[in-house]
Amino acid sequence: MEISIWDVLFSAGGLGRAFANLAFISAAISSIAYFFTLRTPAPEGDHWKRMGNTFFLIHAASVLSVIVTLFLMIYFHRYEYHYVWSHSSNELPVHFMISCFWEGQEGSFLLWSFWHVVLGLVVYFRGKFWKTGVLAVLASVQVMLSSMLLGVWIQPLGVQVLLSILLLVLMLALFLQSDKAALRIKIAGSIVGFLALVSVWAGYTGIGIDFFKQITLLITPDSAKDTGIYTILWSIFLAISFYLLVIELSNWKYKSSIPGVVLTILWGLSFVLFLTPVAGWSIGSSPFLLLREAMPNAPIFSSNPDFIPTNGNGLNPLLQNYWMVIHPPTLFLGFASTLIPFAYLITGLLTGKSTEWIREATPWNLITALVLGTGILMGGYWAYETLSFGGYWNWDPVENSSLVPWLTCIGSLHAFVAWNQKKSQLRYAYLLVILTFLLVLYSTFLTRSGILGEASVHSFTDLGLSGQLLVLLGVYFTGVLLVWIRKKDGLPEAKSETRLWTKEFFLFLAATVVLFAAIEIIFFTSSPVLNKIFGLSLAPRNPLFYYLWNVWFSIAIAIFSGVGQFFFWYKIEKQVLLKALYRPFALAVFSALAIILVIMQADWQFVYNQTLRNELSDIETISSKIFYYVSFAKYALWFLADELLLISGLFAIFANLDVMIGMIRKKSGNIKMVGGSLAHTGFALMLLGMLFSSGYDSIISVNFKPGELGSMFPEDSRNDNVLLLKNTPKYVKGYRLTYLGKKQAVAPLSDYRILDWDEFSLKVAFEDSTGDDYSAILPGEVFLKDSTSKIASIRFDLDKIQRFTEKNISIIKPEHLNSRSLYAVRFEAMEDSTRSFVLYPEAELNESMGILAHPDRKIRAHEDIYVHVSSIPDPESAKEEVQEFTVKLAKGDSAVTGNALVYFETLVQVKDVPEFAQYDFVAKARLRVLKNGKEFTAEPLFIIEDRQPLSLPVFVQEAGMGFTFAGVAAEEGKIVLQIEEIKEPEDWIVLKAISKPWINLLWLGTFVLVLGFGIAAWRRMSYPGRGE
Amino acid sequence: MKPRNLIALILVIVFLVILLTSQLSNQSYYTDFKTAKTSGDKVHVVATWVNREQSNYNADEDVFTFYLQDTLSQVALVKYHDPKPPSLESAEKVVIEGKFKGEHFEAEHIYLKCPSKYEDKALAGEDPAIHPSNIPR
Repeated sequence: MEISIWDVLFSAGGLGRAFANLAFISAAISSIAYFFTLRTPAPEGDHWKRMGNTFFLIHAASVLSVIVTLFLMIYFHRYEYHYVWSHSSNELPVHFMISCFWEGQEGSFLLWSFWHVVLGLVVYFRGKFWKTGVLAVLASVQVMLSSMLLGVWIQPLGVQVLLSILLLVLMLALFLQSDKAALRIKIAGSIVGFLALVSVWAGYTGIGIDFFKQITLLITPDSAKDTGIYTILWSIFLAISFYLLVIELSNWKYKSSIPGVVLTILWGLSFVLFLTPVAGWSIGSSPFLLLREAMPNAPIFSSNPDFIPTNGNGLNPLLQNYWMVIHPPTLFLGFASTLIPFAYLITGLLTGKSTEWIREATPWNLITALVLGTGILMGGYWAYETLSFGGYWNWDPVENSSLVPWLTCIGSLHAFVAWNQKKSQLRYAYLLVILTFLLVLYSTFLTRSGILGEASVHSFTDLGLSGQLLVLLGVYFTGVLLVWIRKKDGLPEAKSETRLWTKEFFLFLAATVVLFAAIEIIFFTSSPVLNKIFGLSLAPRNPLFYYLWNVWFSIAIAIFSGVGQFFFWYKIEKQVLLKALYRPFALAVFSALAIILVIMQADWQFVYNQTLRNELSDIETISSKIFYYVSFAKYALWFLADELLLISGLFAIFANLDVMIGMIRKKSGNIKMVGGSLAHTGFALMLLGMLFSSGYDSIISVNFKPGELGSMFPEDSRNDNVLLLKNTPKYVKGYRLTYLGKKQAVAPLSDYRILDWDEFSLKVAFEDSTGDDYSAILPGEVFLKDSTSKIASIRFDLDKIQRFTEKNISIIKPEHLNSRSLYAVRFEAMEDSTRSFVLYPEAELNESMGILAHPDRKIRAHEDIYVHVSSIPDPESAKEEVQEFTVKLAKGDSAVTGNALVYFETLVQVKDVPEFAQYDFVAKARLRVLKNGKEFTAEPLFIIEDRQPLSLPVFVQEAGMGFTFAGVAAEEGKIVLQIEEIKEPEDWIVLKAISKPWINLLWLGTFVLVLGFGIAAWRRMSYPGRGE
Repeated sequence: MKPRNLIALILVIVFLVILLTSQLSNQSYYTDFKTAKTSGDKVHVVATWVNREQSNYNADEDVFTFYLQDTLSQVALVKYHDPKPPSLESAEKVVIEGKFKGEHFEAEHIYLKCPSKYEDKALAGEDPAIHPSNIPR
């Protein structure tokens, strides 16, 4: 395939790759320059700082350019690129184009990089003393992240490597011998340019590839040469721009040759990278790979190398949800912002300001906690709203690994407060900040290396990045360790030991509890890693297991957050503790008792029934009795934990509110102080919301037909789904359920788009008057003026479609856009006949994933009623069939056909109708038809003309039935009717409905928590002396 | 060492010991059907769906019955108290958690490992595509 130079210059992929490479190199140069700035005091270090600044801005610009390039490729449907083809399709509206951007690993790395860049720019423009160090660390992480997107294959022995080595030697010699910076840089630039030209020539003539082939006997895909040209030409472009840049900055004065050498190596490396051979060691996975590069062995390319798909694979339907537009950016902003406190910490160590960094990092850390927490909860809300798992939290490894850094971040916040206020817990602050950042890296490794395999439903598959991810983790782990070992002596010793029952003691307790919870969660989540290392076969833990562990941590957190607040704000001695705490404690106990009596008493009955009631009377042996007592104790402990969590959660709320009210009264006007107690109140509210919604959810759709009730608790005793036939009510717990059928489009229709077409039919998407999206397949010739024209020139008449769809609304398959269907189910409360509502759980047919269900909810103040379709009829069986019946009826008889009752009312002779005057005899049978609760009439005609019987059938569209008055059986006094009935496709659903009590407390608590963090961060922003 | 620090140390050690023992004991593990049947333990089995036409969901009793074949080619009848998981057809691997009850396996949970988009059958019915990272090196 011939490629002109213009194709190359204007190729989006080449552009994107060039920017990705540039991002990598510039991050590396910037990071190194900044680190040298730290080492070299001003003014000698100033040129390093300038260099760091310049390359940081170049880096920021290139990351943004990569993102813009990739997004434009998606926006303009460039399906010749693998990433675009894999993740997007023609049907996606713009907001889902944004979310398909980060569906793949490469895109989500880009998103992460993006936030680093944004945060880095904030530090760049606002930072003073701390700027250099923070950006040095940040840029070093960016080197690692950018390398994930390079997508290059380095040949172990390729020509390019030899050329680069030559380049290195030459430049090294120049640096060592000459002392005129400007001169040697100009010489170096010229050599770079020359070697780039040589590389172009080698790449173009294929010498490099042939050489490599002969060495390794690897089969090289045919597309390799094209790729080489793309990147080589871009490397020239970059070489020239680098060259110009270097001239621009030629007033550098190298203090020693070492940094010069390092930079030279980077330059050399950059040229190795820009040449993209096809095999060898891969670094990163580029989102700018052409489809034919990604799938060189796909047969379509051997028959048609120029093949470009007309549509993409599309976005996973589960991700086509507005929360997926906003949740990943929030979560990644949270991940990215854990780097900032860490970077302050490293800067503090390196510059000898080993305690001052905490004050600087405090607001950043609060913002991290806020954003990361919001991101995690958004993910939970998405799962709750979109997936039919029935919950917001499933203790899935992917969820856990985002929760754990948040927990340690919360821990570090408490250590920060202890340092800021009491000059205590310094080393704890170090540990927790470092852990938070390392855990973010570790969770990235867990979710992206493919190691979770079957342990998680939504881990990424390995893109060949696991080695790089391990390197990333290893570099920062050892790096931090080395810096710590070298600099830890500079830390001030703790003045005195932490006394019990003080502010700092409770801060220590708080940090410790969340740290232990974090250790516990990450330890069990890491079982696939343990399996790999120790050759075990541990299975992942189920949610109940995690719950039983963390309920105790939650109880501890709730108690400490209540008691701790009193110690924090009031000078309380041990002796007056009870006096101070009695008010919230009494409130908590009384309200908890009320709740226990109303809601939780059933627990104890249940425990007793399950374990003791029947068994003790029958069983004689002591050992068996002991067994049942033990199992009673086990269940009792579970429920006891629930009750303790209730009491302690209520106590935390009352105690924090007590403190907050006291504070507002005392320091009227200073609302900034309430951040802490507000956040604690929010967290306690969340705990209660989780306790009720998860621990006390109940199945509404109980099937009263006895299923297989086993003796095993609790899994076997359930029979949680009900079968609902259309329009046939069924009684379940507290409600009468009626399945009303699939939701139909409602006229008028608007916003037509053609999704797909062929000669005979047209798939259009449209909106109905209620604003819902539908798609329908319509006969093509109605609209197509020219059926031979290409898709771009299809002209169709909106009015015609409008009229067609309005008239024939029944023939529209009420498929939601992307084949989604809504199933209407009416709920009528039994205790209150006026309360009834209709829910529309969704199910969609997906070619690759079968049926996907999305839940629907009725949100009430104290509960959510959460329903999802668990099964629908096989779409294959949903074809229409015509049934025929022949019946003989006397006047007043009725007959039952498929779904209808046909009543023969009377026979009437038709006379005096001019149209029928030509016939000898005309009679009509008056029929009344009852079907689906509706009544229809039909009057088929029987005619005799020239002694020949004739029938004039009628078809009742609405009933889907046809009637033919076929003849008369005179001797029996009956008429003969032929009835055709369109058999309706099977229409039923299997539904699951769950009541989730007080789940709104969880969302309310989240808001309060976030508000608390926000207020606290706002207050810490204005600490005196920040930024010096 | 002061008694207070000692208590703290002991608490930490106790925590770690509980953590370890709880990880190693009473832990469901990956195994095959035969071992699962003889041991009677609660286990995880990695398997594939076989004899698909003999699968059945009884809506009245809310039981889905189907056959799975484990990695050692042993086939077992599995009962699951919920309708058929929606994307079972496309799952390349099925992981079930549960234990044997008599002759059949009672599945508490079914986890589906669906083919990744990256390994998706390429371009309508062609051979599975080869990702560059799979090119032999």
